Amino acid sequence: MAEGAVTEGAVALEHAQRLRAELEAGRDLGSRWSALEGASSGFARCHAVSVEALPRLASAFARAGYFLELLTCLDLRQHEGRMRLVYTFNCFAALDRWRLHVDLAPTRPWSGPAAKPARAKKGAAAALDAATDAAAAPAAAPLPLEAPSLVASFPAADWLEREVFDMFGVRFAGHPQLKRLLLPEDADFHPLLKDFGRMDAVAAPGAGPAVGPGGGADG
Amino acid sequence: MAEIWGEPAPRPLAGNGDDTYYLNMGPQHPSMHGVLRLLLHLRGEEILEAEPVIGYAHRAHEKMAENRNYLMFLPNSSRVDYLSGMIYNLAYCQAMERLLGIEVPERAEHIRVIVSELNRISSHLLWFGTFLLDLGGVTPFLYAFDDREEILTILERVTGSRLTYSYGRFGGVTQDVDALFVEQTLAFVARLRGRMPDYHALVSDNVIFRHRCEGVGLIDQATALRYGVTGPCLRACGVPYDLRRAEPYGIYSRFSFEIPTQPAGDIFARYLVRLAEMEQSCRIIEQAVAALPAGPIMPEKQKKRFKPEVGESYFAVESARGHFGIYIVSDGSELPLRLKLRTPSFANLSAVGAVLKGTMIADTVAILGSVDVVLPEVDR
Repeated sequence: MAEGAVTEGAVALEHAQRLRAELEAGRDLGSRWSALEGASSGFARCHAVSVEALPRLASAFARAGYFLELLTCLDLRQHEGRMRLVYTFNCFAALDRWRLHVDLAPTRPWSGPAAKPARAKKGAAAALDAATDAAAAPAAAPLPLEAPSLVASFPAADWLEREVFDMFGVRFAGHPQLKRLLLPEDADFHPLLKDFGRMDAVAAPGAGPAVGPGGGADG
Repeated sequence: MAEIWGEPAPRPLAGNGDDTYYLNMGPQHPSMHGVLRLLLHLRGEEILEAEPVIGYAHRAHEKMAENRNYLMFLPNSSRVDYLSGMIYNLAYCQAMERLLGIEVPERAEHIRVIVSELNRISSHLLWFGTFLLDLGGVTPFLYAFDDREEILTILERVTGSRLTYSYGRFGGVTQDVDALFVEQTLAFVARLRGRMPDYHALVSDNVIFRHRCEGVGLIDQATALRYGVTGPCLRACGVPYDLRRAEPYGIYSRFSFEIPTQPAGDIFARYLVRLAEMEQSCRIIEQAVAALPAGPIMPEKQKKRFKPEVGESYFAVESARGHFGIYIVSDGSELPLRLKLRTPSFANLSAVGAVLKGTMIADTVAILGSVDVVLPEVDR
């Protein structure tokens, strides 16, 4: 798994160099996007990688002139029993959005309703994998609990990782100061977890921790 | 206070002595753009460290998205960034159209381009006015708001709202435009073009303004890349990255326009890029108005319930502040499994701490203003 990912880092480098040469030759890249295989989903390439390969891959992307566009998390504990980090890297030169999936073991047990048998057969994540052919890591190896921080390669990861920690409780090893970003620093909950409860039921007893008076702060 | 808030956490000294001074700027500072707190570590007037503290305007848009169906999230989209709400509203519609495979009629596509570019100009005008107000110039603010009022009047007549437009629908727009809209829009373009020389004469050539802006608040290409800075801030350091060209969405590939860039990367470069962008938006509007076809503004078959196929999708547009991306994960139900908003101000503001380091405290307001952050968009 790790070796494969490193090879992909080399591919990314080579790919970026080729794009740069095309740009310098003055080639119009506007039509290129529709020809990319992932144009309908907005991604040029999708891969599942392991936590071991992630830092090396990130530094390869940084060297190739890519920026960290997005980092977020999916709570797939109910059906798949795992958390999934989603990274996308892109470059300013031309369209080349790479999406990486990194699966982690949940640090908190699922406390919501159990997966319905009908849906458990065809869980969301399994269907997602099939739809995007991003095969998950082999089930035999136990999933890691933490992801490595990418702050060394991309300072942008500082806030993005803090937000994921804030909302999902995922920890990043090596982050300089993994503390709350958007929520109060004494908050003891992670609201984007699927078993946190609904927004409108937050104040109701047993539905989740109260987060303060009122809602309706749109605008 | 200690019994309520607990003892304050010990802070590491950023300076090399006891003379480090900590200053909280905001969240209720008059020159702050919305509710941002800057924790400044100072030695005299020099900034040793600057830490933006955010979250004061967090409204949990992403959590709300998971608890309501796709159509019900539509009014939320324009409230993410209320200064270019139209662009965000239409971006969400376009993201959903890609996910659902909906074809948009030609007329609606053209209307979308016109109102988006009008909204971009109004956002830049508001920035122009408030930025100069921060620097102590009151007159440009009045001029800019006078021009912006014209745009709000035009858009209010068509969409029914002045700020948080919910004009888009999956497949088109809610209201058709008429001949008066076209007339007003072209009149506004002519008016703005007449104003531009005034703006340059009033501000761009002002010696005091130039002294405060030139060579101050540098964002270079390496910093932009490492922090994912996009939009005018990126183009002001010489990178011609604009999603309307780099990843053409809607019908932007049909229009001819330039991507204004500046090499310097300082406050003045960002100022010049935004002013030049207003002219390019005018060009796009003129072309879209000239090409505006007759026809429907919504597809013939309209659905009320939307269940996208299982899958993941990323859709990005160029907002007034940069790269705005919508990442949607569908599990095949009526509610999204995850809806993540990648907002340009979040990335741009995360770089501000690094930019402020080593500058003087008097430049803080100018640098922050030139980046043009919208805090509700940072916090979501």
